[in-house]
Amino acid sequence: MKATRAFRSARDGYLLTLPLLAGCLMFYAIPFVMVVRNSLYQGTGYFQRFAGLENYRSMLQNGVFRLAFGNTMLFLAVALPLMLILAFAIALMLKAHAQQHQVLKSVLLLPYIMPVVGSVILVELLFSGSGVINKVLSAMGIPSIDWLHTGAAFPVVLLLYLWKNMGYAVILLLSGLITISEEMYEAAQLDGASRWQQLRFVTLPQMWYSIFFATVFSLINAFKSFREIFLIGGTHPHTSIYMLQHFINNAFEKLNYPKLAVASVLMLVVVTTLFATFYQFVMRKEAYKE
Amino acid sequence: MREKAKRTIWSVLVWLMLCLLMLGGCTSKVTEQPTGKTLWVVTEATVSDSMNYQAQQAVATFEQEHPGVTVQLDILPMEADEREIRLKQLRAQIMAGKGPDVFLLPTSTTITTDIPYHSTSWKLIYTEVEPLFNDVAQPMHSGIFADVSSYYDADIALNTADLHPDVMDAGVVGNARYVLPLRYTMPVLLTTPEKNAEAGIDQQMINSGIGALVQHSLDTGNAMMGAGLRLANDLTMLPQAFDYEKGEMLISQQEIAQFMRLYQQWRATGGAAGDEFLAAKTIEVRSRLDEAWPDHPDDIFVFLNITFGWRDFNSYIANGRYFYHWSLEPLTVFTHDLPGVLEQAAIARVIKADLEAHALRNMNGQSVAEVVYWGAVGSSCSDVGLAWDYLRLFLTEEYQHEGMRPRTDRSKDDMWNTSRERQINGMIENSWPVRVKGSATPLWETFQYQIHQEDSGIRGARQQMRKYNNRELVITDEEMPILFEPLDVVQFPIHQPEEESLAYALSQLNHEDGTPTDVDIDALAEKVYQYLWWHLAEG
Repeated sequence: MKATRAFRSARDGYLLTLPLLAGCLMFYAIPFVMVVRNSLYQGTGYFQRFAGLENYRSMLQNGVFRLAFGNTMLFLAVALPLMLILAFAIALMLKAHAQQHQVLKSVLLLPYIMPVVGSVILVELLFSGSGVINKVLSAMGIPSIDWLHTGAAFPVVLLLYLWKNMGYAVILLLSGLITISEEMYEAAQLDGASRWQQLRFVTLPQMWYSIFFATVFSLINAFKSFREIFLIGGTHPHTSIYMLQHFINNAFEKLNYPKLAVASVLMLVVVTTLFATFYQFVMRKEAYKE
Repeated sequence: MREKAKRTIWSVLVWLMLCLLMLGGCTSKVTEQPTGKTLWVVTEATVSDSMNYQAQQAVATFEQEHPGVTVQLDILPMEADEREIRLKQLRAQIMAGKGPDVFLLPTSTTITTDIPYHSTSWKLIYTEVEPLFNDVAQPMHSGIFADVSSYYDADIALNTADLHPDVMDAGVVGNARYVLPLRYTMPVLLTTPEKNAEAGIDQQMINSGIGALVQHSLDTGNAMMGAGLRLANDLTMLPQAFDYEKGEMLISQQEIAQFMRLYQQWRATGGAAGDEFLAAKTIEVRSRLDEAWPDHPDDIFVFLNITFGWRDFNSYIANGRYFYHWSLEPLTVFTHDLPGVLEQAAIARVIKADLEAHALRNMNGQSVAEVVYWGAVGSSCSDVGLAWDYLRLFLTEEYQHEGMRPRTDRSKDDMWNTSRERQINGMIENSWPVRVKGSATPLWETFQYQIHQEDSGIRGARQQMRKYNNRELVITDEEMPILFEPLDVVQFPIHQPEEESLAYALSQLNHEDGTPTDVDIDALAEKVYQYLWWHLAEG
């Protein structure tokens, strides 16, 4: 009787998840396998020929790919830690007021929900040749800077990413912070722990899952910032903000499918490796907590 | 039980809803796929009596020879938004291995179409479009097209020996033939021995290329020689940019900057002199037009056609345009394309001038040509033999030598005596067929047919035009030896976005009156080089 009930319960669960699984298989898994396969072949249609790792070898020698890959990795290496540190700091500051000021959370999300075009217009207003920033600089007697078409474009894009996505990361981290029991902090205070020690030994160990999720979503948002970069700089922006998505997009328009497949696979391998490592780290931390 | 039944019903409802949501994402407008025995051909719009007309004629011939097979002629839209969507779909289909069977496309990004203008003429519309292939050489190297070399080599009836070998080799990679050039163009330098002697030009200078000629005009202060050279503002006259096989840049930023500096000096002297000369000529021609045809339409287009070594004369009015031939007398040399050389060869014959036509060589002294129209079988094609049977028609003599254009009658007698179906002036795509052997005579005949259909009766014109537009004057390949000269570089043009293009960079070098600007040439050259580097690496 119990087994039958368990079976029926499991069956219902599988049935409910079946459409989603089918969708994931059809729109993610199978295309992913096709991309990996395409990365090992040259040509299309009936004249495809197996190239093995030749595509990967030539891609690693491709200067533009190395530039795009390097820029993307640099952007992630700078933007993600910066995002997490700042979002964590803001979340800590807001923790005490979050419950009382619900409207604060809505305000934090306003940049996130702003349409892409709105963000780009804002960037143009601030950083274009005749923008507000240059006008301020001129007023101070400092020469104008071409923010969007020189090496200065990288920090501008970084700033845009942080401004746009900070609120979302804060919300994620804040939701983790408010679940930590106040009694733990009180106990720590009684034991003479400083604020830094409370952060390190009370807050952080219970926040790893939240940090992991915030990192995942920040990574997704980092890739989405290609849209803004594309609207600001076009298909070929300044070399400092030429990202992997530019390379893949342009390779698609030039019908070089093996190139874009290889670029996608390499990116996936690197990002998956990094995140797997980070996830292992988080799991160890959580295991310790248990 | 009731609770259990309720739970089951809710589970089923939720499951159905999820299924519907998933399937809902699948519905989208999908371009109708060719099914069964259908040959899917993708092409661009053209003027009504040009490649589209040929493609339609080829469809009729092909379907007659292959009963049960339908040719689906898919003309790409020209409206920007619609075209963007269509190109994205097409690229995705090609990627998925479900692309077209045959590509029949121009290399130019300017599509010319026609609409009826007055009762007997057309208005030409020029539309800039995004091409399906920015650079045909790249998909050729990345396996988008099928290898047709076995069909090409085995097709004895095609007489491939009559095709220009260097032009046809532009579609070859290694031992595989992926693309069939159908029409090409090349810049030609027109001179006479007297003019050469006068200007101090010798064969060695001509062979050294455009750089040496321009420099000579600058060194000798011969602005009119510079005016005649008409330096192109695209990549044609630069050294070859890429080695696609090795994925290497062959051109340097310094070479681009050097060309730009030369261009700036040329524009300031020869270019400005040419503009001034043309402007004065236009005023003179318009006053002659007002005199000859007082009731002409206000929007009539005046077409100034160069004739080397002849006095100015009124020509004819065709399709609402006024053609006026004017003497090249003040100019030392002149550059023209192959259809233009054809007319000059005819005039030279009539006036017994010693016209010389040389390939205009690039900065490296290489003779150059560009493919203007091409065809290929897609790698998604399941029956390459069938696709070849369609594509090969465009290489046959009838199609290549302008035979597949509307004409009332092929008989020469009828052409001169009766009214006939009109053709839009100019050779197909303003280019030359790759079937060079035996091409001069039929193309000259087409030229005469087009002039004759518009003999307008302008005062003095008939008499002058008939000096060379008459049935006795037959031009043969012997008068166009330039057609058989070897070509060092035959390439497919590279489409560059406006602000990263060489043309845009060159436009920044001089003011309107030709005086040089103080723009940073090295920075501009770097930008052009950067785009070319990206173009090679991404493709």
